[in-house]
Amino acid sequence: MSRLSVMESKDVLRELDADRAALAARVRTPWWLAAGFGLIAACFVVSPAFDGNRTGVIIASVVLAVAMIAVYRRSTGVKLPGLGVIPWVVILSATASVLLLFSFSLGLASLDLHGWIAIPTVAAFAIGAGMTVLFTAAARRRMRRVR
Amino acid sequence: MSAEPRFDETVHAPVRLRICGLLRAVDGLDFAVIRDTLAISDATLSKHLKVLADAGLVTVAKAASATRADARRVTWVALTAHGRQVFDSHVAALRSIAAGASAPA
Repeated sequence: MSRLSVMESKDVLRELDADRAALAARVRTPWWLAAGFGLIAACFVVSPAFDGNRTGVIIASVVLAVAMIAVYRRSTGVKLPGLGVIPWVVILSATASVLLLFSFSLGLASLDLHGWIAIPTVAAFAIGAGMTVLFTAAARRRMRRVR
Repeated sequence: MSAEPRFDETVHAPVRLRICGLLRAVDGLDFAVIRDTLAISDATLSKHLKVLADAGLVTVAKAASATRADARRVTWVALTAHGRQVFDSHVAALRSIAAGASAPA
């Protein structure tokens, strides 16, 4: 078996840290990914303003989300690590916020205030985009963490 | 760290250790990302991946690329469950040495 000195072992561990930091630096959040998830949230919240098929919006959103994740993986060459606690908190908080905004939109639509639905829609876009940035940032932190 | 400290000679080779170190941080990496991050050649990376794959520590899977007009394929590399266990044990051994303990047998 190999014999390493204390210093050599520390150097090896430092090198692993440096490699992971370099890898994490490659994982940026492209604007289109944040905008795409913002768009999905916005489309969902604005849907009460129209009498169209809401199921169609949901299906299209799921397809768009899956396609964006696939393109993101191909473009970065990285499959992000499994979810930890913080990304789950980010996703659940964003989902709850978007559902709350959706209920506002339903209320506004029922009061025939369709124009005002633009406000929760813009907020939903910001939440979707912000969630994407926070999620990828959490993934980067997780990648840097030495196990 | 819950892994039992245990040296692994296959993982311990410097390039292979660095490859495993990158793969441990993610669910999978494109061949080119590993090559570029470690600044090594295709041939060197292929050689070490073959050793790791033969030892059951990594999986190598090719996937068609929709974003490449020349039909080149993306090669995804990932640690196996056994590979994660072996790597974690190896890092635990390194840490115990770095902390001043003698190398585990």
